[in-house]
Amino acid sequence: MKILSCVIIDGEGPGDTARHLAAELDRRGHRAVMLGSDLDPGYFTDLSARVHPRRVIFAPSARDECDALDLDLAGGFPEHLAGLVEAGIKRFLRLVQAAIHALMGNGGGQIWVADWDDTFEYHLPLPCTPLQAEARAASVRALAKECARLGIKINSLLLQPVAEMFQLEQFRDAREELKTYALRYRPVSCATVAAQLCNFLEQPDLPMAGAMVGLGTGICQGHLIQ
Amino acid sequence: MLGGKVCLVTGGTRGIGRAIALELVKQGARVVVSYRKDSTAAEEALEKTSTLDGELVPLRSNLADPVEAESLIAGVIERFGRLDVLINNAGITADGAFATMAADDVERVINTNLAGTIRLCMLAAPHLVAGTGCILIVSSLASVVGKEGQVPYAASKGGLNALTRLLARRLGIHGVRVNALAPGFIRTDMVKSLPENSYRHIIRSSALGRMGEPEEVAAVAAFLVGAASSYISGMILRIDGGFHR
Repeated sequence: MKILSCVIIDGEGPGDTARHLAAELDRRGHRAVMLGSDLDPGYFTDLSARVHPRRVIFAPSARDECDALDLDLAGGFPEHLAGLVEAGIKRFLRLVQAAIHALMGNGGGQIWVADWDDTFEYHLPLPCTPLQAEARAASVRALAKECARLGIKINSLLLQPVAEMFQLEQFRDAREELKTYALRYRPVSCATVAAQLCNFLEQPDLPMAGAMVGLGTGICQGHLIQ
Repeated sequence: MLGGKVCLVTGGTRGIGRAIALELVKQGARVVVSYRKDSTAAEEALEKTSTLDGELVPLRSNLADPVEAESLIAGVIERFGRLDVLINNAGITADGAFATMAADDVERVINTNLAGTIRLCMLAAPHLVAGTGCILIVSSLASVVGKEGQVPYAASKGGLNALTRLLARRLGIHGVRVNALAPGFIRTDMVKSLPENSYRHIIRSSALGRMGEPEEVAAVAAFLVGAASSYISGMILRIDGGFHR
């Protein structure tokens, strides 16, 4: 197996999946650099010139849109949600453009864009970023068609809540209230999710592009992402 | 029918927006249409409604500017005292290869289509809640199927689909419905200027094998803001002639 050079963007978000992914990549002998949400696209370009990435992974954004929406609906100056989403999407598009340039210069590769499945947001305090998640997913579908000829495969990951994010009792309570999502949900660990993503990353010629892959054992209700 | 309802249609003097505005006026609504710069198109739209039941009022507004967006809603309330229906139609695109697209083009599309619409929905929400009104967002088939050359546009419209579902859940308890349309290939001024061989393959990808007309979108819009759709909310409705590519 060829050693992969990977960059993980926005690595410090909830759920710790990015940290587990970096650890799993390291365990398999690959190189991974994890960058925080304060990352500037210019810094990413400089870094790419040094580490020559073949895989770029966008971890989920940690900015909570549902709180911002509630604040706007209750507040007198409705600007929080618009500003939050606008900044998040612009930054994502700048970074994904920089990632495409980096991979083009390195003979192609893979980009994965991960977001949380917040179906169960009505019951548990899940990270809630539906606008950015769906905007990112829509851009991935368009980008996949543009980038395939460049040897770049880009796909979306829909991450369901991992075991480490909540106490088991919280799901038990939900099941007792017959919340259907909780009844169907069986938590899996961050490490399991990270291992599956590593399997995709290790594919030298990934036979998928523009896909939305759900990871975890919850069954998405399609409330916010279909 | 929409007799007496007060509606705001953004980007309502051309293309799909104009067809929607005219349909609402036909059904007796009082419709404010916002436009960014084409006052001639606004005057033409006004002329077309002179013999109809409802009323059309054009107002100039650049919705990418938060101050102008606030003034637009204030203008509607000042004139009619209420707002029943908000139709977010205004939008722009910047097509081209994303790898070489200028940052300014990307930002313009996100500012206008996504941030501008979010902002207007938030400004309108208190007025809609007071009267159990509704919001309709004009999204795009590009948000659902993805199309090369339209990355920022697809991103902005994808965000609007999520906004539709999120607002439907948050405002439903107040009786406010929120839905979206996702039109496919529609015969607007922009398409009329293209040579037929540049879009023939797209038309062939729809089950009906033809382009859609703005009036066909407008009829669905009128249904979604009218009483006949009183139990429909959080829906992204494709109007694409059965696109299957």
